[in-house]
Amino acid sequence: MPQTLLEQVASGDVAAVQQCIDRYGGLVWSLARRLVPRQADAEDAVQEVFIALWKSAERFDPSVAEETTFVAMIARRRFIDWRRRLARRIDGTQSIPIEEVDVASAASNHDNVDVRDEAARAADAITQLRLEQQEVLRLAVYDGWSHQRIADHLQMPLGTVKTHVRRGLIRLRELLTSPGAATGKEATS
Amino acid sequence: MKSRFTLPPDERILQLMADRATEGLSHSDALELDRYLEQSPGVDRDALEYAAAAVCLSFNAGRGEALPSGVREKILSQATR
Repeated sequence: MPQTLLEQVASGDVAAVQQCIDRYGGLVWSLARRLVPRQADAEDAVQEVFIALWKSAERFDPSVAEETTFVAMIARRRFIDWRRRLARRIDGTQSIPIEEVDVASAASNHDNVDVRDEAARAADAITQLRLEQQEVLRLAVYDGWSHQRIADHLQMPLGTVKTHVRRGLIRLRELLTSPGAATGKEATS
Repeated sequence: MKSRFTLPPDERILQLMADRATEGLSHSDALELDRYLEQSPGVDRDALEYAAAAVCLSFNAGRGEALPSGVREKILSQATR
């Protein structure tokens, strides 16, 4: 079976490192621009993501997740750490002055085919979640809102927001790891 | 890909995993989760973070931006040092 890019990186293949940056650089950068408030911080955070990726490449297991999802997970982990560190530095709270990112004008679809395929599979699965789970997950995960901010915005008890997040993520993982994942079944949770 | 994964039965631990995957954990909550996961080797510790990553991929579709060339060069330089 051919090695994945990360498996090649783990084996010390320098060309694979470059390919990895080219394949996933756009994805990681666009996520950084959404989740890390300032451009300078986003640049530093993206470098941290790739350092973390090189270190964790040998832990990548294609039987657990697609490579694109693994990269996005490592990236999110670093960005969440960044946001929390930044919040502590600013005022000791979780509030961060977010520079509103004009994503619509910045986006120019530099996704490669692997990223597009995995995104489409994830999108299919998400449409099978309940609508309120979809909305809460989008705000909590993609927009990076705190659970409290979501509760205030949607006028929903905080506990309900947390339940939607928890059940939505569990259901999504079930859908994405089921044989024939993300095709046609209705979510029950 | 594996078609099954194992989650803890404890709602509190599941919530900590969900919180970690979305807004991160306080130091004390992170310690609590780590202690649990160390004692539960069969649990798929990253399951909900993978799900959150999938959410990101889905909503980010078509919004990929080119990595700035200066950042790319720095990453490459660090990697090949």
